[in-house]
Amino acid sequence: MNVVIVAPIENSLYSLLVTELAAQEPGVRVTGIVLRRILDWRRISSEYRRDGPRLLRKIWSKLIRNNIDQRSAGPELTLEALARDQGLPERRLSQLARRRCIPLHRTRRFEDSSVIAFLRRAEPDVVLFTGGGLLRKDFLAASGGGVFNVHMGILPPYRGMDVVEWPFLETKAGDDAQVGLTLHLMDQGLDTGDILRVRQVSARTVESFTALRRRLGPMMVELMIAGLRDLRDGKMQPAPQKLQDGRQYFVMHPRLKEIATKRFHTWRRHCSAPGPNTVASVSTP
Amino acid sequence: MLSVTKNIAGSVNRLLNRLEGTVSRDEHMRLARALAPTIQTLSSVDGVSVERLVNISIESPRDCFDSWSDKVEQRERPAIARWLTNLAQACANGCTRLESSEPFAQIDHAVLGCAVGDSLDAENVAAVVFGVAHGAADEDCKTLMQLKALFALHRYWVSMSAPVRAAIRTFFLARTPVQWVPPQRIQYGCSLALRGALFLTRLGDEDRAIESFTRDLAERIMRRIELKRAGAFSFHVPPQLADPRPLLEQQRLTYGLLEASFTFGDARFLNTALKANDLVHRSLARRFSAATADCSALSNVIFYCASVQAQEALLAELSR
Repeated sequence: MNVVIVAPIENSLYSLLVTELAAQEPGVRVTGIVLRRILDWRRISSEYRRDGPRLLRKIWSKLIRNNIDQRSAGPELTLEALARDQGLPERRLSQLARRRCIPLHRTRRFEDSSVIAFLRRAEPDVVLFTGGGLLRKDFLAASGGGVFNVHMGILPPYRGMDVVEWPFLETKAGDDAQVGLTLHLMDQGLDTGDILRVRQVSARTVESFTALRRRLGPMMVELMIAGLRDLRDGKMQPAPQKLQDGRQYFVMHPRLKEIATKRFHTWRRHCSAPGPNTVASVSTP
Repeated sequence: MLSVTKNIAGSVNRLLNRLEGTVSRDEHMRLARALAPTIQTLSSVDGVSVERLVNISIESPRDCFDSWSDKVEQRERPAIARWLTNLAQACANGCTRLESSEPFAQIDHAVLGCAVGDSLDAENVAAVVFGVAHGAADEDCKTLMQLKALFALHRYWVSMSAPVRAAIRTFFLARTPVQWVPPQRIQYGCSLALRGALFLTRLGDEDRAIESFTRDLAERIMRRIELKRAGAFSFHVPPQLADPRPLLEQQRLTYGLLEASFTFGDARFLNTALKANDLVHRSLARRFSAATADCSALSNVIFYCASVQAQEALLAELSR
């Protein structure tokens, strides 16, 4: 089974781990990596047009804060710890591609004709998306059996952004917030494609949203690889989403984030009964 | 090491908030207080009412949104009701020419609160609408008449008789939310459709069509503002409309989203309204001060104060 990886930046630990673990899977061959150029004026200007000054926060959190968080994390399982466990020596996708002899294609935009040509040469059965922006019709059409994405929230209820925080803002006192991950097929909408696997996560044992996101990192890798195995073993059962069962969420305003954080801490205090460990359940739809 | 990292992260976060234009409660309150004298200077509103308008410690959002009903005097209602009924009948008969017997002039300055300065817009729009309706193609006339009706509704939707309500309902549902908010733009005046539809929804007539219309409309407006940010407020303005006031329309939309959050109990609308109100804060702080504001700024100031009041009430409720 041929697999192509789509990555947002050279040093994304998530992309590195997905690539490495996919390449280790029996019966799976990584036939290409599509890497988006980060220092590209057109990418920066189009993202600035879309995000405005929020782009600076994105750069801070994705390129700097995440690295600091991963390195300063406690003994719990993080992407950094998973990379250590796997003995992953590289910190850059280009290095990994060289070691594993995987063709790597750098691009400014995913919809460029050169990307489509690269995909056709790689003949993927599936594309594993690890970030980098929306995908257009031509890309999706050239991606073989589909594009897998792990969404950091439960679908269908929570589509969009900041869906780790939103459930705590919306959940009534005493109820459990719906936190977790969803593996789904990408389509042209935002988190609207067919659902492949849902993984509920309990947040009882984490101290903050940052810690929760950190814990979700390695689970995202596991979920992606589990989906890959399902496809290889013919066990994949895509379930279409009913859009009316969910809502689209946007970046949370800092003042609402403050309230969500307070609610999260109140909720944790009230969870006096010992709960299940971080992973509560894994289900296929 | 960990504490150093946390300190750096905290400082960077504050800096990013500043760069993103996030406005704190205190900053909003300071601006509302600074602009309050404008209301008193430019209108005949008494000090107590102004104080009530800039008080952002209101406990319940209900107090913000439902208190609008005392802002229109009883004596104005029959005139508007008559005018709306005529308009509805004329539209139903396919008529594109209307008598320009406007009730606006008699109404507005007696109307306290958020409708005060807005009368200027209504008169302006009404004049343009009538000017154009005589010569324009049918479709344009229809759109403009709807717009006109919505402006009129703006000051009337505190209380309505059943036939008028039915006529207004027809106006709203004649265009889909997609027509009001096409993929690329927001139509100037659609804040009034949103707020009118929200009012009808809150009346609680179990009207599923209007409720669904309102949800869709609010959702589309929210999405547009979230995706385009300040760019969302570059409105499509009918070319015949002289002197449009985009900042005021932006404020009406912001207030509409706050009302939507209250009506549907949906914090996503509040989230977008907070961002939109931060933008309004920047524009107002730059543009007006109590000393320089003129009559045209009055609506902006009043709407700003009302929005800050409503957003703080909704945030307070969410914090409980």
